[in-house]
Amino acid sequence: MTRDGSRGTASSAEPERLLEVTDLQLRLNSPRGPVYAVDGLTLTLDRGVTLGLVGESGSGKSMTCKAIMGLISDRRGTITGSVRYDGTDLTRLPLERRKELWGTELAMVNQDAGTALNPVLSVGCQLTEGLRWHLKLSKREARDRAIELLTHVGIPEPKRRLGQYPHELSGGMRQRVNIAIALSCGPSLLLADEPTTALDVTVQAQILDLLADLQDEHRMTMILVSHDLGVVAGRTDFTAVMYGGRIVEIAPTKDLFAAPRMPYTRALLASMPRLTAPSHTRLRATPGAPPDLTKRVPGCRFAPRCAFARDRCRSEEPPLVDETGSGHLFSCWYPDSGTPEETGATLATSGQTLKEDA
Amino acid sequence: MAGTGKAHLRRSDSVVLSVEDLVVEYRLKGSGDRVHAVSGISLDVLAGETLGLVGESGCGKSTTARAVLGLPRPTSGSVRFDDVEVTTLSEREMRRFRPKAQMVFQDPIASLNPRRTVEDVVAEPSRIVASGTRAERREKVRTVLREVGLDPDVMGSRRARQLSGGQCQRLSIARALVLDPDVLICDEPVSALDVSVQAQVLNLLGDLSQKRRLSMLFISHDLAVVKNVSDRVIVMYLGKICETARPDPLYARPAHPYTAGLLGAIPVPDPGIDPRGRRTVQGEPPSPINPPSGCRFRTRCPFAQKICADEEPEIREIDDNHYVACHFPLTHAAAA
Ligand SMILES: Nc1ncnc2c1ncn2[C@@H]1O[C@H](COP(=O)(O)OP(=O)(O)OP(=O)(O)O)[C@@H](O)[C@H]1O
Ligand SMILES: Nc1ncnc2c1ncn2[C@@H]1O[C@H](COP(=O)(O)OP(=O)(O)OP(=O)(O)O)[C@@H](O)[C@H]1O
Ligand code: SF4
Ligand SMILES: [Mg+2]
Ligand SMILES: [Mg+2]
Repeated sequence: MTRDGSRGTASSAEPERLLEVTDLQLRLNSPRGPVYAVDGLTLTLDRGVTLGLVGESGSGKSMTCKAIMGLISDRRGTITGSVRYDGTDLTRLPLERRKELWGTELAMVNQDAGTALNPVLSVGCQLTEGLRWHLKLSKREARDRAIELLTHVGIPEPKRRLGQYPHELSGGMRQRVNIAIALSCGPSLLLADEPTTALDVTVQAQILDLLADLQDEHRMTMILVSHDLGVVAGRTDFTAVMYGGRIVEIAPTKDLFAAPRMPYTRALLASMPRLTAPSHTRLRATPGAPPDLTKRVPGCRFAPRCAFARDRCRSEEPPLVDETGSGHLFSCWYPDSGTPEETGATLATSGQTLKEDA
Repeated sequence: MAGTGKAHLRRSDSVVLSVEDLVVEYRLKGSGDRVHAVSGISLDVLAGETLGLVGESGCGKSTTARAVLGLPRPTSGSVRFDDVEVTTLSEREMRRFRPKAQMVFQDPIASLNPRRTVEDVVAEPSRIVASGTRAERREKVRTVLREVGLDPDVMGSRRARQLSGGQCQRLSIARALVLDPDVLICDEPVSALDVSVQAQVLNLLGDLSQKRRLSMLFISHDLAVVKNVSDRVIVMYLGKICETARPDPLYARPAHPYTAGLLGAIPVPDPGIDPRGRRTVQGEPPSPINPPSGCRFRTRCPFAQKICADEEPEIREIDDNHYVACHFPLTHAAAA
């Protein structure tokens, strides 16, 4: 994907491919047999671009990030396909070589801020580790840089925080410490897994502005996983929607929000609580359960829950294609079935009255 | 208020949870300094009511929620469940109370034992209370799992560490609901859920509050979610209450400058709007160790005058059921 010309300044530079993921599959070991957490995922990213990753809880967003980083040990699961980063297939690099890239080339902000930090090490210790090891800063320099980083992410009293332990911080402060650690060595690719869920909207805006500045200044590339469709709408060039381990729709963000094609994407947009709706408006949930990732069934993964599914949907898997050549890819045999409003209404649990006005 | 007062408390027989003048301070090792995490919060929740709690990261929401359950014990103030003062109960007596009041913690993964199976995690509270037969308990566990959107046949035997972020979060909601509590304290219960699963969980909680008169204290940074679920909303800033009202009037006519800044920063799901550089609350957050005098928001408030530094504003009613703690509340006469 090339950066959308309408956003930021980086668009003036020549597009340069940074990441090329091809047919990525991740099988995790579980007591009930292999879990196909990521199942045939292909995407490309140019330098400076932001890709939003949204989708069903459990659809493989975090695992996609971890697989790209190379964080899955052989004991936990098996990766096939390729992850080309700046020309090198990371899946073929030995662990030692991958570790050299962590922090400086690729960095990840983990979804669960609580477990991502080491509870028995001080904030300062965790924040300066990368600076000392990768950037070879002196103790003094690393400390100064750490204070600067904490200030950037809006943490009050950064000096004092260096000596504190994770449990002494609020949820949002822990999350910001994670972000500061991920940014500390100036990565070229940032995999940000729900980086702002624990932040109030004003601090969230500050952090997202900071990330956008880094993208402009250093052409940092970013995959932004988020359930907040408001954040994705305003902060990404492209959006990919995942369902059951695959991308089911991917398009320039503007096109995806203006004209979602795949029924799951439409159902997702229809379930969003709206600020314009009065309090206690009944929300539109999608009935049915997500696919069991230990089973591989033919057809479209969304078919059992899709209001528009026909026989073909249950027997043949729809490919992810660019039907119009506009860079808007989706996998669905019968796109645009019904208007978005009808989609939401039909998908709502039977018999429930809908009050939503938006 | 960032100020003090209790004008917003109600005198009603159906108050289930009542908190008055709650203060929680953390002592810092070494220096002897204290973090003023919560500085005189009062609130009440009626049967079947949902009270939303929003505010800046680090303003003391989790501390308030946890102090209600005695984790940690408040520095001072009173917490009453059905008129029973719980701050003076012993650890053992407190445990007797816990089944009535359950909590969904903010960091779902960190709060669960990663090695237990999903069914075990949910069954644990009912095993401790030992209500019903084993078969009944198991069936209840499976029902609750289904209600939060986790298929017990697929997920039941998984370990907690084999779940995604949102699956963990639903697991902790299921565990909190399995004992049919009267009061549910939810600290960011849906932050890891996609909006479609979130809709399912929120609808479930809404049904429980209607059918079973479940009362909730609901903390979230997602202001659209808070508006949707709450009967009343409290806005906090640096350990104090700024404003409280029913959600529709609060969102339409915020009176406290901080509330207005917060609402103005909500990201809108429209790619045509560039959100960059639109910070609505300027300046750096002040230190919770040396909070500002007078109104705690004054160092960042565009309307601050001398009185704001000298005198702490008291909570007062400015409209029917709409309370604010500010010397110069915003008026919406022009907009109306
Ligand atoms: N160690 C594991 N063993 C087996 N299955 C696992 C393991 N870890 C995760 N899974 C499963 O892999 C799938 C993908 O998980 P992943 O964490 O990538 O989801 P996600 O899209 O990030 O979801 P969320 O939005 O809830 O965070 C989930 O269905 C999850 O249950
Ligand atoms: N155990 C502790 N020791 C010292 N300080 C603490 C401790 N726990 C919390 N604090 C401090 O108390 C303040 C309030 O924290 P709290 O977790 O209640 O905030 P919050 O409103 O829940 O924030 P968030 O939205 O980020 O979760 C913060 O300044 C935090 O650093
Ligand atoms: S006007 Fe004064 S009292 Fe009101 S919020 Fe601003 S500083 Fe506080
Ligand atoms: Mg995840
Ligand atoms: Mg918190």
